[in-house]
Amino acid sequence: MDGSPALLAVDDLHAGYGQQEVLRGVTLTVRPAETVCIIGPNGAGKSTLLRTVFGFLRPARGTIFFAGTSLVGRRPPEILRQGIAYVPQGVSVLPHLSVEDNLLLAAYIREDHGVRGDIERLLVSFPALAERRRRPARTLSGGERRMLEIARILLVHPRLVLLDEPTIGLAGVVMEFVYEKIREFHRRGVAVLLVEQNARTALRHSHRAYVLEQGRVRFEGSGEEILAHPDVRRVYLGERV
Amino acid sequence: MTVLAGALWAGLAVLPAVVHNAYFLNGMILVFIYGTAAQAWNLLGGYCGQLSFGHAVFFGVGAYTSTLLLIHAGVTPWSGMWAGAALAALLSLIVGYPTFRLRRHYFALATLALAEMVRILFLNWPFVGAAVGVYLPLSLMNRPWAFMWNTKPPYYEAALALFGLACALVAVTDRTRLGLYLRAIDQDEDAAAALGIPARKYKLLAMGLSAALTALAGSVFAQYILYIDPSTVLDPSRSVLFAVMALLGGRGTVIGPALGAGFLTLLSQYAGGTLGGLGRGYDYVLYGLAIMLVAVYEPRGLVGVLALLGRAMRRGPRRPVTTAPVPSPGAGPRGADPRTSLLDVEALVKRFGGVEALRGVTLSVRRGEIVGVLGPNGAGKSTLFDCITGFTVPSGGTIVLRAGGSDRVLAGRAPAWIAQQGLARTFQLIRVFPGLTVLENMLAGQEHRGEPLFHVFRSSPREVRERVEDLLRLVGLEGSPDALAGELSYGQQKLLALAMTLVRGPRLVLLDEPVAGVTPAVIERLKNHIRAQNAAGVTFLIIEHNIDVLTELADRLYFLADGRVVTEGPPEAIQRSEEVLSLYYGR
Amino acid sequence: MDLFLAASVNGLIMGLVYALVSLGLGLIWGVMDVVNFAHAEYMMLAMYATFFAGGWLHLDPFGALPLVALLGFAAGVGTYVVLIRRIVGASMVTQIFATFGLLFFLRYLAFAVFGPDFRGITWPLAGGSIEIAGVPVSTAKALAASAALVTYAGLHMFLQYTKTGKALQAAAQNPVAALALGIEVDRMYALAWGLSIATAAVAGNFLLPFYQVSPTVADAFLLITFASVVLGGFGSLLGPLVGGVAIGLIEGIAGTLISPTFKLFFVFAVFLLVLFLRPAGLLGAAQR
Repeated sequence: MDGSPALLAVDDLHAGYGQQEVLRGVTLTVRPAETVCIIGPNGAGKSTLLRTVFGFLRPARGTIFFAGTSLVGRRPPEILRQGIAYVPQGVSVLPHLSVEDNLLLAAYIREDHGVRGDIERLLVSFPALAERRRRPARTLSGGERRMLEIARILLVHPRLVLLDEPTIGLAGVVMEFVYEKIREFHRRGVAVLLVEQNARTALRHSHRAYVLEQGRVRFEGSGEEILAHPDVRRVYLGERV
Repeated sequence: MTVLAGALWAGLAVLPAVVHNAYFLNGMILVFIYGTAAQAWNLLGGYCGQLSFGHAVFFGVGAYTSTLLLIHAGVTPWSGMWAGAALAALLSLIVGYPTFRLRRHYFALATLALAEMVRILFLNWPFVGAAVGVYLPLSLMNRPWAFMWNTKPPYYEAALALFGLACALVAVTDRTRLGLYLRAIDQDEDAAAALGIPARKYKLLAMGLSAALTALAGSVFAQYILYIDPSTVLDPSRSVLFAVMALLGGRGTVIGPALGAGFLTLLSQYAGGTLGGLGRGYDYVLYGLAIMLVAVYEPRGLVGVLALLGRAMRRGPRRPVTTAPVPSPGAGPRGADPRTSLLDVEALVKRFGGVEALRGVTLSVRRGEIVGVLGPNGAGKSTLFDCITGFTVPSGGTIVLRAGGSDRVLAGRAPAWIAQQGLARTFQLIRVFPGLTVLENMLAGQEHRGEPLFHVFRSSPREVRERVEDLLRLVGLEGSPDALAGELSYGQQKLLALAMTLVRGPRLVLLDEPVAGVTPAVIERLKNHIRAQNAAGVTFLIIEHNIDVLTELADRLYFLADGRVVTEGPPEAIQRSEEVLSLYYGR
Repeated sequence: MDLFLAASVNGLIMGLVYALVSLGLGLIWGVMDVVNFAHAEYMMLAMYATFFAGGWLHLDPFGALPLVALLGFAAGVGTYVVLIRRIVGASMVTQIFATFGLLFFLRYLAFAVFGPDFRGITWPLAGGSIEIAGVPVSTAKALAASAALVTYAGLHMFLQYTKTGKALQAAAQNPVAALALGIEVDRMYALAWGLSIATAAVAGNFLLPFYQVSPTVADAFLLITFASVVLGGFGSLLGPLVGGVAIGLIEGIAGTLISPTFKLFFVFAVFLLVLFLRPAGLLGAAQR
């Protein structure tokens, strides 16, 4: 642990759906520009954690601080304005709006006049999207949709990005593209908290990682530490050691 | 309860001997007639969740049939009303067959449109008096065979008898399997189908009974007011009135519609009298307000309000549901016969639009085996289950169940039929019936094959109840049979879902992520149950992400990725496979 | 043949009026999957508003339009905030029940306040008739049909070409994603209700010159508006437009060529046929 202050500090977080308690006391931190990944078996509470940080779920107990401000009780649009962007699991493009409109809406919270110019500049680095800018987003392939989701984040200049299974169902090339973008976030000083099923790849691209199990943090450490930890290999990766 | 109802009924029956106020008796007669129709609506809309806004049609068919039979053929309304009931039931079956395919709002809209069409037809049909309507022959007044009197008490007794019949029918439905199945269909039609409950058959039964009962009410109504025309008996506002009475009183309960009919009819009669002087329609403004308040704050209706009051008065803390510990199963002999296959899936293809979810999956499950299906998200595992259990129609390939010496082709058949062949499944997201009790959930899972339709008016057989008790004891829920399933913890719901599949003694059970999201303790219990049932002869096909669990349980694993079977074999071999590791955990 | 042409032109004109009444119903149905049984009641209230704007403020329907539309918008937002917001996640039964209660409430409130009398206005400007394709059409009806086209065009432009309109579409297509983009979905729903009832108000405003108002006037429109929305299909504004025009044409042609008393019979028969054979509607974009 270096001494830099946490950008996101989650402490003893409890949350769930109705009767079902999913998070049972999660504590974690993300420092500025850091890429942190959360792995764990299905049902461990990975997605629920992101949803709770972004304000979709109200925690039953615990605190969430972002850059010193409490997020508990805030709604998603307010949290976005604080500087956190979120890409939910599955497809989150707006299917019947054009690619361009999807990007315009991504800058919904921006009041300045630079949005159009930013979109044009952005499309240069996403040629596949530029080609289909007037097509409805539902006509995009799975990989292109993911690109659009990533591109949307870039328009709001967040300080922290929450990604829920960003490479799920993607072919290798697109997966590489996604991780390239995650590295780019790091270079630009943007922190990333990502949830992944594809643990090995995710761990290789992360500075630190948390292993979630049954709604609690079981292990934390650097990507290499986690990969080498015998218990992690047994519990999560399913290997006999 | 039955004694109380009988006493109440007897009290109501002798009331005209004491109270002679015609205004009051008129109100009560309307309460009984509308109450009958509201109970009829309740059978379909309350228990079965099919909201009809067209019940005026059945009311009108009853009124017109008995009246026209009396006028044109001299048939006594005492018989004519049953002819009307039969006609209404027949009509309802013709209408119900196509309309029950419609879900959500569409069923309500279709009934609304059908009722309008019938009304237009009657408005323009000279034989039924068209818009002018039909007067009953007043020359027959006070002849009992003509069902006509110029005093209130005979109508009162007749209407009360009919109302008693309606309440009794609903009470019987409520307490027998029919009510259970209808409520299960209402709450989750797919989950009901997965248990083998033939939804359309029971919906049609409910609709036929409902239509017949409404028609009887219509006949008595015609005899009482002695004049019918389309705007009195076929008006859409009648349909709405019946629905509102049942909904406001409390749909899906025995006393709710009776309460609703009494409340609304008497409110209308007396509020109309007192408020009517001020202006017009204040009583309906109050209805509207009451309906909105009930919808927002107490969707169970007046019955719910009363229950809340009752609970507030008792103020006893509710006992939390606890799960008793489970004895671990003895290591019984495995009923596996490795040579005979039970389920053969061959070259199964499923396309959704342009996306191929399954690209030629071939797998087989042998009798007595536990087979696991493993693979990354999006591999097509749940689609495979949906194809096998009939929830989606495969685009190609075959699925054959080799049961009891005869082969049954499953691909393309309806879920309920497949379930009746001895297949049971759970869903990835738990789908117990949240508004039914634990016991009711279990009873909904009983055998549905080859049962004569009218057996649903009986209670569940003793051997079923005993089996349910055994299974509840097994999963540790025997202490809380009356708890609502929706109030159980997540893990308890998973245990219940598993137990529900076992009630009818299935040949093959398909479990979709049985241990996902539950605590290690519950995982242990679930594993023990699966092992024990397998030892007792049940074959399992299990989708699961938790490799440890599959390794311990399964005889063989299939590894699916990208809609194909990548490899197949014993768990140890699959775990060592480099291909699997790279696909599952990344390179 | 002339009869057929006349029936078609008049059917088309009435169809556009139906489309205008249905527009807001389809908007809410598409955006929130809530069926508002009370939709046509707001049209009835708007007819009274136009009536009294004429009586008290001496405004003709053109003059009353901004006021009536604004009142409609406010009523829509109010309805959302007071009632609909509480039942957004509730079961379908509860939703139907609540909007049915609203129907009762509004209709009989009008009954209590205005009485059962039929009221109409005379609007000299729209008193005559004009010729469309050689067929005489009442000016008042032609104005209502034009209002339908203008309202459709206006709403279309708003949804397609403004940021707020696109945000409203986003809230309808994927509420979770919309929230993640910072769109206040709740506010968008309120806006949708405001727009929905405002269009019903516009319809009422232009209906009054040729259709007398009474508390039960909505009865004649209730099922027709449902049929229009279901017939056209969801997903775009075009749905209720196509559905409304189709119904107007069936009604006009069947009413003229077969029997005027059976015209609605045929309308509902076609509605049921579409419901059974093509539940996604004529335009067929099955989006839910």
